[in-house]
Formats: sequence, C-alpha cells, structure tokens
Amino acid sequence: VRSVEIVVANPSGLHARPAALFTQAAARFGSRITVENLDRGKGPVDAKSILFLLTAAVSRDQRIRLTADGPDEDAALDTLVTLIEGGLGEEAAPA
Amino acid sequence: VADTGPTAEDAALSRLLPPSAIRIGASADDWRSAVRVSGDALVASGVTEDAYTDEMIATVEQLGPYIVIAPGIALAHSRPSPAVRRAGISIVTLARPVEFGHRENDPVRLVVGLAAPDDEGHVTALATLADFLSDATRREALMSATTAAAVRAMVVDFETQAASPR
Repeated sequence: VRSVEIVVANPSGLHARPAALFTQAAARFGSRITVENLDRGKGPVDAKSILFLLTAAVSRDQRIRLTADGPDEDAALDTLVTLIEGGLGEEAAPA
Repeated sequence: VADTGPTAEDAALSRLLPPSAIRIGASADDWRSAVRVSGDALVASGVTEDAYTDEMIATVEQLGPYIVIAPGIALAHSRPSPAVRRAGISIVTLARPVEFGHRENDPVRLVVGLAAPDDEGHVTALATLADFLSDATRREALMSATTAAAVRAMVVDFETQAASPR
C-alpha cells in the first residue's frame, strides 16, 4: 500500500471534466485506489468512480490523500500525482 | 420577508427538491431535450431562469458526456451563474431512455438537474446528491418511481437515515 498527500490546485477541483479525467486515469490501473478529502474529512472513496469521487467534494486548494493498493500501485500514484500537478487539463491556478 | 429558499450551505435535499421540480415519465427524443426538461423543472420551481438550461446543454457540448455519472443517470448542471436564483435540484424520469454518448453508463433513464448560485453551494449540494445516488438499490428505485410523491419519500427516507445515529 502506498499513500501520498497532495493539494488540488486547479480551479474546478475534482469536479466536472477534471474529475472525469482523473477517474478515467485511475481506472486504467489494477490497484485499488482511493481519495480522501483531508480538509472536509470525507472519504476515502473509490477513485475510479466519478459518482463516489463527487461525494468527497474536493474543491480547489484542498488537500487530499491518494492511496493505492495493488501490483501497479507505484505507477498508479505517480500517474495521478502528475495529472493533479499538471492541473487536470485546466489552467494552473495562479499562486 | 421574502422567501429566498434554501441557502447554498443548506444542502438538505428535501428542501432543494420541491414537488414542482419532479417530472415522472417525461418525453425526450435526445439528450438535449432530456436536459431541457430537467432545466424546465428547475425554472418551474423558481430556482433558475431559462438561460441556465441553455448553459447546462452547452456544458455537455463543451465537456462531453461525463455528466452521465452512473448507469442510467445524468447529472445536468453548469457553473454557478446569474441565471441561478437559489440552490435547487430537479429530478426527471424519462418515458424512453436516451443516449448521451457515454461509453458505459448509457442509456439515460433519469436526469437530475442541479443549480447553485455559488461554488461552495454547488460543491456541497453535488456531494449530497452523489451520496444519495451512490446506493445502487436507491438508484434503481428512483428510476422506476411512478409518482413524484414516491421520489420525495425516497429523499426524506435518505435524510432520516443520514440523520439517525449509526
């Protein structure tokens, strides 16, 4: 099992198209992957389902914990962290 | 005192979903008309103006069918906008399912409309809705509901369960 904490900085947070991109990327891995919204205390929820991801209500600038458990857990976390750091297809938020 | 309806923070579904915002067995020929029925139900309950319905349709055109968030269920919504008067939800079941172009979750039998005047209200109302819809048994019951009263009863049951100690 591997975990990482990261701040979601893109404007929509884990909603709308960024949420769709995120769940699609997560679904490509065999590992079980969860998202916990540390700021709201919601989750962990299944990262591969947009419906469950929405229940975590991850807004811009909130901190999440990503956890992956399975044979490709390292690759899964690396991919998802890169995606979040890249703004999930949205303009990066100005600091 | 003017009734401004539920505040953005007050995401209680039963208050966001008045009976006037529920349509059972609506007719829609395609995804656009399905979203339009859902927007019309928001307009009918005083939550939005017609422009928001156009914005919901434009969102799908721009961002694709990700709004089909579970098998058979589309969550029609757009960003907070001046055409939103207050937070609200509509629920529409379709007489005939329509395709939204989603790989796994088509065809859609139920369209949930969501409007919120600000980002935080939007996110919290969305999360409450997603909680409500995350139960497969409840989704199935919702899609087969034959009366608006039955839909309302499901929402009230959900909130009663959520409020009671585990």
